Amino acid sequence: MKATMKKTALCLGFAAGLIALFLLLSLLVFSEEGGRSKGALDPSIAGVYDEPEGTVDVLMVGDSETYSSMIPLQLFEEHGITSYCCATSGQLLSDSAEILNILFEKQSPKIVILETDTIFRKVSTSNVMLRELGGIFAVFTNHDRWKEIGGNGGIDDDENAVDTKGYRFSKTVAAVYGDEKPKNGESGRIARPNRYYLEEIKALCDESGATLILVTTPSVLNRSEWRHDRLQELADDLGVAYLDMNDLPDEVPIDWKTDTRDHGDHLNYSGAKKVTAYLGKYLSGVESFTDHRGDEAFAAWQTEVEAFRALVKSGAPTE
Amino acid sequence: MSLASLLGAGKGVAMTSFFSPEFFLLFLPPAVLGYALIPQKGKKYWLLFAGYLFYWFVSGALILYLLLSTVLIHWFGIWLDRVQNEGKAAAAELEKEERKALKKKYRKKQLAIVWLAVILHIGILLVVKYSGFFAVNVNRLLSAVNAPFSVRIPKYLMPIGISFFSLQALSYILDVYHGVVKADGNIGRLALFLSFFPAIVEGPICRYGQTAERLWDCRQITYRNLTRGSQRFLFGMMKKLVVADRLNSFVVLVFNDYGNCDGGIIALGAILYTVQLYMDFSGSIDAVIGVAEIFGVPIPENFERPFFSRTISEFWKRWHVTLGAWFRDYLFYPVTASDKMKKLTSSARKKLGNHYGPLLAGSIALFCVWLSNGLWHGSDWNFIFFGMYHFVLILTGSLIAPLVRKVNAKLHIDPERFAYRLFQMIRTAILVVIGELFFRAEGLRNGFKMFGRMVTRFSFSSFNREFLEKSGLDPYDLVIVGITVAVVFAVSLFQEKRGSLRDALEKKPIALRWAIWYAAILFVVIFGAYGYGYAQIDPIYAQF
Amino acid sequence: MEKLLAILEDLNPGVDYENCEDLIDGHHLDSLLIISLIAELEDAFDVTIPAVEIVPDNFNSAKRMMAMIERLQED
Repeated sequence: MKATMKKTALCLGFAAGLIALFLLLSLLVFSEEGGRSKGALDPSIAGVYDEPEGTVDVLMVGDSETYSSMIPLQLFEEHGITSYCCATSGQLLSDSAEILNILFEKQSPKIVILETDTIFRKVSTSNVMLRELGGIFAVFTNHDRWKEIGGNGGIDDDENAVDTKGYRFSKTVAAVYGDEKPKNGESGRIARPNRYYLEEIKALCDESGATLILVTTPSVLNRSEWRHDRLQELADDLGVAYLDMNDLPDEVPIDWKTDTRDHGDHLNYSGAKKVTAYLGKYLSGVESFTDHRGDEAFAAWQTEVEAFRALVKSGAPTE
Repeated sequence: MSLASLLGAGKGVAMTSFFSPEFFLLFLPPAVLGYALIPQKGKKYWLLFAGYLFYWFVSGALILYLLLSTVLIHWFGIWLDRVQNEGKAAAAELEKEERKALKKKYRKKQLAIVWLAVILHIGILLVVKYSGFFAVNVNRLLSAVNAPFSVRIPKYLMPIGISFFSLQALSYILDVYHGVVKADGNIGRLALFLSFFPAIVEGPICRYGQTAERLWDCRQITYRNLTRGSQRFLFGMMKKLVVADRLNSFVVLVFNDYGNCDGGIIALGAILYTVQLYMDFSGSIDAVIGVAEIFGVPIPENFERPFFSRTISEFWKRWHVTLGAWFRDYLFYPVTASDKMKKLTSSARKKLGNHYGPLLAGSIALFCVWLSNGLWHGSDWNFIFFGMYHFVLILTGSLIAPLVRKVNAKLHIDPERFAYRLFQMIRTAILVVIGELFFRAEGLRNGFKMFGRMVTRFSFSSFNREFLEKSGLDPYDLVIVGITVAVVFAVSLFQEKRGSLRDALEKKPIALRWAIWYAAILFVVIFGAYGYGYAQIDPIYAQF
Repeated sequence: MEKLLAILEDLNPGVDYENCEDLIDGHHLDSLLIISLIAELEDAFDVTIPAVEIVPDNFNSAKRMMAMIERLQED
C-alpha cells in the first residue's frame, strides 16, 4: 500500500511540476500580453504585419481561392482602398481566426472578407483540442515564437520582389475541360468545429468594429448549389452578408476558357481582374472608404501599384 | 461540443497518428484507466473493446475486414488442427512403412487448407490494394494494342492496417501448419492478437507464439511500465513532431516540383526524406511500443539503429525488422527449403562450388521476397523497382563478398578498422537514400527523371530565399532539425555500444531524471511542428 | 564440432566461431550465407534441416548448431 501511495504521489508530483512549467512559460515567455507577432504568421503573408498601424481598410482571409482571385493593388488603383490578402494554401478556419487575432492588434479594417471555400474544410478534432489547450496555456499557441530570437524569423525580405499584398500572380491559362462537375452530392451540415470558428471570427470582427462578409469567388470545381444554400443559411444565421459571384455572370463575366489557371479550380490574373473590379464596386457600395490615392502617407502603395503594372506587362507567367 | 462529435466516429483519420491530441489525451488515458480499474478477468475484454473502438474511429465500417479476417483465420486454424489430430491418430495405428505414406497424405491435406487460407487473405489484400494498379496497367496494354475498350478502374477504400494484420493472420496459420504453435480454440485471444490497438495501424508485425499469450494474460499496470512506456512515447514524439513533420513541406515541394530544382536540391530532398521517413516511422513505432509497454505487453522492436549498418543486407535486419523477419521466415527459408530448391542447390553446388552453388536457389527465393516487399509497400511500379533495387544490391553483395575479401587482403586493409567500417556505413546510407528517392517519387518515370537530374545537374544554384520560403523551411528549422538528429544519434550510439538508455537512466538520481523528462517534454512542446501554420502529418506507414 | 567449425570458417572467415554467441543477432551471418551453410551441413552431417529450424535459437552459436544437428540426426 505504502509503495503504491508513494508511486501515485510521484506521478501526481511530476504532473503538477509539468503544469507549473507550462504556466510559467505561458506567462513569461510565450505570453499573450507580449503581443502576438510577425513570427507567428506564415512567411508568405507576414508582410501584412509591416503595414503601418491602422492603415489597412480591408482584410481578406481564406485559402488559395482567395489569393488567386483578389488583387489588393487593383483595389487601391481603382478606388484608393487599402487591403491585404492574408490567405494561405489550405487555410483552416482556425487559422483564419488566428490570423485575425494577430492582425487586429495593429489594424482596424472596416471590412473582413472570408472566402467560403475554407468553410468546407473540416477542422480536425486535434486542431480544436490544440486551440483549447492553447487557450489555457499560451505556450501551445505561441510556441513558434522561439524563431524570433534572431529577429525576422530567419528569412530576409527580398527588396526586389514586388509586394503584391498577398495576391499570387499567375498568367497561366488552362481551360476548363468541359465536363467539370462541381462538388455536388454533399450532404449534412457544416462541421461543428468549423461552425465554432466561424462564430469566433464573427465575434473578433464585431469586437474590432469590422463588417464580416462571406464571399464565394468564381470556381467551377468548388461551387455547388448545395454549398450555396448552406452558405446562405449560415450567413443569415450569423447576420452577415453573403456574396456569391458565381450568381453574377454579368457583373463578373468569367470566361472559363481563358480565366482559369488549372481547369476551373482557381482563376488566373485575367479572371482575378474581373473579380477585383466588381469587388471594388461592391465594397464601395457597402461601406464608405477614404480614397487614399494621392495621399502622401500612402505613397508606398502607389509605388507598388506601378511595380505591379510593370510585372503584368513583362509577360512573366507567374511572379 | 459533445465528445462524440469531437471524436467524429469513422472520419477520424487524424487519430492514426498516436501523437495527435485526440489519441493521447482523449483516447489513451481512459483506455489505460479503465484497464487499471477493471478486475483481472475483465481486462482482456476491455483491451479487445478498446481495440475495436479505436479501429472504428480510424476506419469506420471497414472494421468488417478485420472481423472477417479474424473469423476466417480462426476457423482455418481449427480445421487444420482437426486434420492434424486425425492424421496423428490414424498414424498411430499403422506400421512404420505405411505411416510415412499416411503422413504424406495428411500433410498434403493440411497444405491445401493452408493454401486456401493464404489465397483468401492475400486475395482480399490484392483486391483492396492492387486492383486499381492492375486495371490501370491492363488499360495501358489495351491501348497499346489499340483495343476499343478499357477496363473500369475499381476504387476500394483501404482498411487501415490491412497490410499488417493480414500478415499477422497468415503468420498464425503458417505457424499452426508447421507445428510452431497450436491452433487457438479461443477466438477472443486470437482476436486480441490481431486487433491490439497500438500495433494495428503500422505494426510491428507480431508472432502469435511470442505475443498472444502475454497479451491475453493481462498484467496489472505498474509504475515502472507506465513511466518507461511514457518515456519511450516521448522519445518518439520528439522524433516525429520536431523533425519529421517539420521536414515534410520541403520534401513535398521537391518531389512535386522537381522540374524546378537543381540536382543538389533533389539530393537534399532525398536525404531529408530519408530522415523524415526514419523519424516518422521509428518515432511512431516508439509510440506503439511505449503504449504497449504501459499495458505491460512486450512488442518486438522494429528498428535497431539502421544507419549503423555496414551492408544493405544488414540494413534490412535493422530497418522495419518485423517485416523483414516475416518475409525471411515465411517466404525466404520455406522457398529455399522446398524440395525443388534443395535439388537445385545440390546440383548447383557440384557445378559452382560451395559458395556460389546455394546462391542460385537463394537468389530465386530472394527475388520472391523483394518482389513481395516492393509490392507490399504500394501498388505502383516505383515500389516494384524499389524492391528490385535492393534485391540486386543484396545479391551483388553476396556474390562479390569473396572477391572483396581477397582485395582487402591484398591491399592489407583490415575490415574491422574504424575507418573501413565508417566507409561502409556511409556507403550503405547513400545507397539507402537513393532507394528512398525512388520509393517516394510520384511514379517510376518521375523517379528516373529525378535521379537523372540529380546526377547530371548537380548544383545548388536554385537554393535561394524564395525557394526556402516556398518550402516552409527557414534556417531556424534546419538548426532544430540538426540538434534533434544529433540527440537521436547520440542516443543510438549509446544503445549500440551500451544497451538500454532507460536502464542506465533508472539508476540516476531522481532530480536528474525528472530534469531530463521535463526538458524533453518542453523541447517537444516548444519545437514541435504543430499548431497554426503547420499541417498535421499522418504517419507515413499508415498508408501501407 | 571441428567439422562444423571448419565449414563455418570456410564459408565466412573472420569470425570467432568457437566463442561467438550472437552469429545471427549480431549480423555475422546473413540469410544467403545461411542457405549455403545449411546446404553444407545437410551434406556433411546427413540431415535434413526444415525451414522451421532456421531460427536464432539454433544458429546463434556453433554449440547450438551442433545441438540442432544431433537432434535432427536422431529423428
